[in-house]
Amino acid sequence: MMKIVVMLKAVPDTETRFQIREDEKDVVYDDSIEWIPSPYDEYALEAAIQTKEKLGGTVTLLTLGKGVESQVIRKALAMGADDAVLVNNEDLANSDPLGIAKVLAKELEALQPDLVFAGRLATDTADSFVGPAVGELLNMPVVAEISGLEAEEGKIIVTRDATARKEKFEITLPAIVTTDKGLNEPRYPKLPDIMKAKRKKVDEKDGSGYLEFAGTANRKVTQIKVEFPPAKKGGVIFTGDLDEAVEKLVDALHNKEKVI
Amino acid sequence: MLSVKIERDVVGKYPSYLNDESGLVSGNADKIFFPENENDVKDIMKKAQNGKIPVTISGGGTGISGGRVPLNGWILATDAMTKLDIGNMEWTDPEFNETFQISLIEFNNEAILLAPVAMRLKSIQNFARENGWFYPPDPTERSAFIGGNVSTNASGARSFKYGSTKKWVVGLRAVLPDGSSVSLCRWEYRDKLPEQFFQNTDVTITKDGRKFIIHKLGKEIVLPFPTYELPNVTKNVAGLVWTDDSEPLDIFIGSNGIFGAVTAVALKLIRPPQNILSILIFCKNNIQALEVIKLAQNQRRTQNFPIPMSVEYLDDRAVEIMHGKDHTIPNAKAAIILEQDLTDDLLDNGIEFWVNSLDKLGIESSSVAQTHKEIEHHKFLRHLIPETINLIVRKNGQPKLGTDYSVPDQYFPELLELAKTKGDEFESQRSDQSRLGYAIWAHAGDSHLHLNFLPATLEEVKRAKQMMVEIMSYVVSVGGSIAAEHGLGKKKFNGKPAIVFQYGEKGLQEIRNLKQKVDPTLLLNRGNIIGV
Repeated sequence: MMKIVVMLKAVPDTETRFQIREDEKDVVYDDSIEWIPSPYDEYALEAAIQTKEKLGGTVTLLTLGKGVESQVIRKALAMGADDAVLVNNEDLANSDPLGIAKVLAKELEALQPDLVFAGRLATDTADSFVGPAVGELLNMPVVAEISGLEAEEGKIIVTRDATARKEKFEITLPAIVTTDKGLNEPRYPKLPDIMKAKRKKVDEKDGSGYLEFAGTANRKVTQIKVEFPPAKKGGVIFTGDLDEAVEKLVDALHNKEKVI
Repeated sequence: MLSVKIERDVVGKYPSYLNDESGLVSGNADKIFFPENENDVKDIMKKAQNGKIPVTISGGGTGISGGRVPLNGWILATDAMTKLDIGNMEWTDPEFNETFQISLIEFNNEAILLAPVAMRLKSIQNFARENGWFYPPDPTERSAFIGGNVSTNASGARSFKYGSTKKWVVGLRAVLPDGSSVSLCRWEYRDKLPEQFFQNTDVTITKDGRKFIIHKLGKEIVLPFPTYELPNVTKNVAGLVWTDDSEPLDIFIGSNGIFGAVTAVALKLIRPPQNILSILIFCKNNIQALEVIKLAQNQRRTQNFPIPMSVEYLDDRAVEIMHGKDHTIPNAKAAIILEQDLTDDLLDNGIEFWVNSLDKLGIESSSVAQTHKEIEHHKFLRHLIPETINLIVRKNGQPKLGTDYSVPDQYFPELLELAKTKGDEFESQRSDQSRLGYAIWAHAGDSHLHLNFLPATLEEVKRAKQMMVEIMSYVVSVGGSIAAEHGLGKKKFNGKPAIVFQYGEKGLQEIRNLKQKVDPTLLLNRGNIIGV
């Protein structure tokens, strides 16, 4: 019986067109944003559910939230997680990556998992930090960015894509792994499971006890400015009839860009 | 002198404009014009009229009934018509990196988008979404131009709840074959559209009972409604579908451009649904699928909550295509894609309704998409079906022959059965048994079925056509439509325009008479609907 935990983060839809706040310190998070499970966390969740299906056990979601997570958690429960722990505290959620890792580590300590899955990064902040940092804080082994997984009682064998090769590791549990694209195809929930998810337990807490060591007041990394990258230079359109246009294109590739 | 871009070597430089996605007929043209605005269109039409030169209007080229295929003369390609003179804002679609000049007029619960005809349906949906609005029509081919959507009265899946394009066009501007322009709107939108929308026109069109009247320079052209009986279905674009509720702008909606070229459209937008669930339902057999369809139709007929936005049927072959791309899709015998829109307060009630209903029918397997991205993935999978079929068609080197038939709801199970029987019969008679011979999908909520034959030889084309005629006779005999959404375009059967099979020779003659009153020498969009 495995006790599995998935660290799940809600992020804005990856196609969101952001506006920058007036003080330029962050983007605007308003009602127009659709919150989704961070796509890499969906691989983590799918891996957790598959492991549970194979070896038995439970899958618990662990989320540090700022009040926008309920739909995302419900969806993950509908996919097959059993219950969830939601630390709902905007100040903690806005802390720096180490502060966030500290909160999650404390909660994991209480949950006593055999195996923890997290996405290799959250698509909004893209730090790739929190998963490994939690492992460090808990003194648990970590393998990051796995694209293959075989779970057995007491150990897992994982694959990681390195440059021009694949690496395989055997890890003794308890352990933390972060998941990469290609690991699996996350399932969509079945219709009845969406209703069943409503009845699953979400242990919501305010996390105020963590503020003194992990809140924004303690953060050492603070985002001070956000700006858009310079607009890409528009492509060049070669006009004229087909022969003319092709001639101009070849000329530009050969003489100007010097690529052919 | 015309100031628009003209090209004389159409065959050499713009060969794609001689065809569309139907592969039905390949056309020919001497020149292609790329007008940028209505005045350009007027100039071209007048010049063509003076020289008695046929003109064929081209939209996005995504049609599947040959509507834009030119039968000699000139092509009027609307590709450059991306900017409305009366538009007051520029908007760039990040998906296609195309810029449009448009207007958005917002009211409390609805908005009007003034759009140029070359704006793609997907761009309209993107624009609406970005601005907190929603354009409900959802034809599967989203790279189509809105001009083409209007000319064919395109519909697609969500018409189950929201109706076809026609219902969402509240105004349009058009140029008649003689080069005169007209601006029309639905009566109740008279005060909602800006004054400029109605300026600079040459003719007016009014309605008097079952007659439309074109007024030009004191002269009147009277267009009496055709007398044929319309099919008893929820989706029909066969010929002219004029009813007592029709307004003058409906002359140009769904008439395959035989009365004029649309140059600007005013579309109604509404607030987006708070929640949309796209539910893929995997059935053990067709009986289960038909039960789901019947239930959805009942909901609509009785106007009981919840009414889905769309109810799509996919046969095992179509499901297999999706499975090939996404292994989370099981290889089911049949599948239904049901899109359900729900307000926040009724979200759980709506879900519960479908959970209980499917449970009662013994359906266990489903896949639910809830976020925009997931719903887009479902749509992508759904669109993959015709795309994959079209690839096979290209490989086979013969046109796809697909039915576009709808029937009164109670006959849908019979139609599905007949389609399956004919498909199997067709497949069993082929020399090469390994090739896929057909696939069926249906906008089943509207009892509208696409049986797609995939012939690879001329002999097979002939056989498929014969089968289509047989199914067509059945469809007409039960009060159905032989053109539910694709339009008749240049389709012919046994050498006759397809319209004859729907409304008889008399119906054809009536439409031809109307066409001749507006376009005496039959120059505009030759071949569409009436065959000449």
